[in-house]
Amino acid sequence: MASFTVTDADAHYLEDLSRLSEYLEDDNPWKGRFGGDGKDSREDVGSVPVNIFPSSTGSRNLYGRIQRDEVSYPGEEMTADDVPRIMAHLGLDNCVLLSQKMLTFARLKADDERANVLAKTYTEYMLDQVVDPDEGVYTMIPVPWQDPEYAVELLDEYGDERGICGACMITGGAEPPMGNRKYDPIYEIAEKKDIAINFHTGGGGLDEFHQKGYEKFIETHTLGFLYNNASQIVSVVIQGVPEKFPDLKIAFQESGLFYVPTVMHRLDAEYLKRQSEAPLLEKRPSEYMKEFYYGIQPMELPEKEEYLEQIIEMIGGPDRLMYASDYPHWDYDRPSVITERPFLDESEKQRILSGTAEEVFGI
Amino acid sequence: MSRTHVGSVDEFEHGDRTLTSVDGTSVGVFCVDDEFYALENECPHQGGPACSGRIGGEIVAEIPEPGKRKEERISDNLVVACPWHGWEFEIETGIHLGDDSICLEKFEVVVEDGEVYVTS
Repeated sequence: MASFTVTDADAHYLEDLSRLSEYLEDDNPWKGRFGGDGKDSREDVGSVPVNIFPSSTGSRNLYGRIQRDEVSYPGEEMTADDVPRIMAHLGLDNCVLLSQKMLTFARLKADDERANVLAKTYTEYMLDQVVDPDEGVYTMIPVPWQDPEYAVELLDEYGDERGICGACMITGGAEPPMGNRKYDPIYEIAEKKDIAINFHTGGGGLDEFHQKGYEKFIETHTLGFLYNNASQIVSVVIQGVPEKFPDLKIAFQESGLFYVPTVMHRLDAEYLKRQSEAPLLEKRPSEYMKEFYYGIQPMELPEKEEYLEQIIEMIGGPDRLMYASDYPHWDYDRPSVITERPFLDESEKQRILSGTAEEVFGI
Repeated sequence: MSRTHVGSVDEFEHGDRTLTSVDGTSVGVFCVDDEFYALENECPHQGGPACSGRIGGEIVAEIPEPGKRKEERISDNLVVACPWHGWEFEIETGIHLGDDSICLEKFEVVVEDGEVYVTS
């Protein structure tokens, strides 16, 4: 087999809040709440962001069936020393680490302060302790979209750092959805600084997904991850974000690939009848979506390879796709999901495994 | 045909497992009700060490009657879960619990004079 360069567009760093607390001033009450030396105790953080995932529908790690040798997952802590071990396990040349705790942003509605504190301390900690572009280790700024003004400050302050390769927006729970004009300042500075915006789905809040009453994690996870991304794509496209910010790099991550053509074709069908409701658009919604980038994980493997081949063609081909592991999560993908596809030639595999991500992230 | 010595029958109890190498292939050997089964330790999904994961009973469910809560229980049928992504395989057959077209390759096990061998 040919040797490929591999860039992982999405691996998760399980940050320890008490380490992040070291980046807060002593008089900041969040220092104690994050487990650092302070009056307020960590318990005061409540269920968010300490316990961020659905619980009533079942165990994310299949009640102990999922195990990881390389890291303490499902524990809550990683250190910089874990990263080379993860990269060796997956065979990575570069990895883009994402905050684990930011996945909780889907559950934060009114409180826009802890998201800001997490985003800033995570970014400072990662730049100080973990990120190392010379070793291929990068991260994205967690965007606290609850407070766009503060998000802009963060992108302005840290966006030019070499180890920062993008900005990440968690797609679950954002109300109004992300095509709304209130987020425009975030897109504006990202476009100006050439920071790719990665819309990434998240599991926080999935227990209350759309309608309450689902009984198993397989139900809420199957639907919730799709719905989170699909809902933001519809808003971002129809409200004309790509028209307002034509040079903005936009990526969507972690809902697989098969939902993309569904959203494309449904939007097109509606658009041809209701173009009057999307006057900013100059072309079909699917044409904008073919200019977005997509993380492939968790990649569906249908019974016939030709089905997947057609899906990739509908999305716009290997130039739109980025290998993403989502390690260490329970449904992570290895690079073999691409290297083993018989319908991709070597250059197409290389494009998906690293080329597209290098372009998106400026690696 | 080659034979790989796995151990003595006495060393195994119901539900025990050991990993061995058969002609360079990693194989899991399991003891279920005094019988031995050997399966390739490579998951057909993404190549994880399927035989090294958690061993437990298959979860089954019965519906007493429509409208009643289904009764889930852990059955006696032992299965092993690949630790990478949770794919579960019946130990006696190597067949995936959710799709019987997917399976771990099965190896022949011979017990002779109280010693367990995998043949290939």
